[in-house]
Amino acid sequence: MMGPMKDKQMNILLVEDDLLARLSLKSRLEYFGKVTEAETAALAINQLENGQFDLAFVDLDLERELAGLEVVKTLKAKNIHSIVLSGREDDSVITAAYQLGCNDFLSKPFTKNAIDSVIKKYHHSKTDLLGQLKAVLMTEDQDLKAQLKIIEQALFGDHPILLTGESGTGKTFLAKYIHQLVGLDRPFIHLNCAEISESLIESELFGHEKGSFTGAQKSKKGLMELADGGILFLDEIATLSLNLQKKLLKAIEEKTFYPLGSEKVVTSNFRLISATCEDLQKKVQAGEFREDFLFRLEGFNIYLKALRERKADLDNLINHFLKKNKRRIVLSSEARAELLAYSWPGNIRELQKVIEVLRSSEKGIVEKVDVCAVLKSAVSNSKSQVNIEEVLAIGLSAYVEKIEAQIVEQVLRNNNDRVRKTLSDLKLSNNTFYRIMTNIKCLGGESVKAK
Amino acid sequence: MSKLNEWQNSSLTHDINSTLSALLSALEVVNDEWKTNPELVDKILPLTTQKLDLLQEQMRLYRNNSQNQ
Repeated sequence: MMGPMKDKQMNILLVEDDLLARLSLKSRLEYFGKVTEAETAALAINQLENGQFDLAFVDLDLERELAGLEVVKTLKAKNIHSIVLSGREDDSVITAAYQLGCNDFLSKPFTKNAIDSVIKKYHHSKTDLLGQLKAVLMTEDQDLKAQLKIIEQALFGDHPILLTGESGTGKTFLAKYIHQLVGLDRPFIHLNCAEISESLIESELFGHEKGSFTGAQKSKKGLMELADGGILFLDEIATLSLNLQKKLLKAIEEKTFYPLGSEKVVTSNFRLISATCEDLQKKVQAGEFREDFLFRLEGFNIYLKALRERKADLDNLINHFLKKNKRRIVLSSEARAELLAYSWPGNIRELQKVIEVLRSSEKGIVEKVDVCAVLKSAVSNSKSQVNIEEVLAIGLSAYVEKIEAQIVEQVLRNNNDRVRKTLSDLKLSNNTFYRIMTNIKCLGGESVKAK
Repeated sequence: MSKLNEWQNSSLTHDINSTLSALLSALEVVNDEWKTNPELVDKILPLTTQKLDLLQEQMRLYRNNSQNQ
């Protein structure tokens, strides 16, 4: 686990009567700032009269029972952020601490992660997170603002986050932004589950030992291990097989797992953010997605609206993308009206692309006819590239495998069945090539049959 | 040994939680700092041993009380 960033600007008051607890906490808190110690409530209040503090950690039971509450009262009066520490388990004490104005209550025993988390929360409380999120997503939409409020709450702690919404609505962008907010010093591991085949995804996630399967020439750490202390972002989570969902569920629940071919358990403390454009409830009903896995993914659910449902934001987004490049272009009012009236099936990603295409033309003033031409080609492109009905019928992984097979067969034919040339042209590894060839064999491919 | 009353029981739970917390934090510091700050670790280790003895005593009390209930 990575340590926190050193921040010597904060002044922290640590009020704790137990010497060992005080020494240990002080050592941790010194990562965040200058620490002043106090053993009793009276000494703490004296320190508060004479010094300037940003936040305070206060043990509840000091020289006498609940003496820490007096310190909390003084901290509240001085508007200093306070975190109460206590081994008491009764709610009445916790309620009393909050009523007197403490900001957080940490139940003993706790580890350094809890300390890091409340300090992070303190830092975030000093910044306008919601304002930042609104600004980065450029929204004034009430529903989306409500979703952003959930993100603001979700940042503290390690509950999973599930991002849903159509393709292009900004799920990946948001996951990366959450990473920025929680700390760029921690790892951010991104896996698009639809981009790699079922057979490879397990070893990618869990890692493997040398020789654990054909082609495993050396040991490799899995993405879950690499995400330790940071974020594991699983995009297109709906494409995972039921079998893999089961394995992943166990690993997420227990934060431990075995790499393929290994008997040594690996522990990884990562935060899971998953994303999908599919309706997971429907998939559960259809028996294609495990309900227990869905429960595990759903810590905080954030739904990102489609662009066509964010008409109020569209004008601002168009202006944003127009200004994003030094080569400025302007839209005639008819051209703008055309963009505003369009349904944007590809959402923000499509809007960005359309503005870039318009910018790449020679015109400085874009007319309605130019917009219509670009939108028409966008529609025909989106139709010609992917046969959505077929994807829905056979599943994305099978569809991707089929397209891979077609490409490899075509290039092999062009190269007169020369494998090395094909590998080089397609920048393929031996393993990937043989996996695709095996698929071609299963699909009854001509090249393989002939050989 | 007589059974602890509700207040004593809650107080014992508090004490065990506090001792465990001090031990956990201390071991984390030892784990993080034993190479970089051996002076601090030298200071912490004897206190940790004392704390472990205290925990043992608290656990004995807790067990006796549970058996009496």
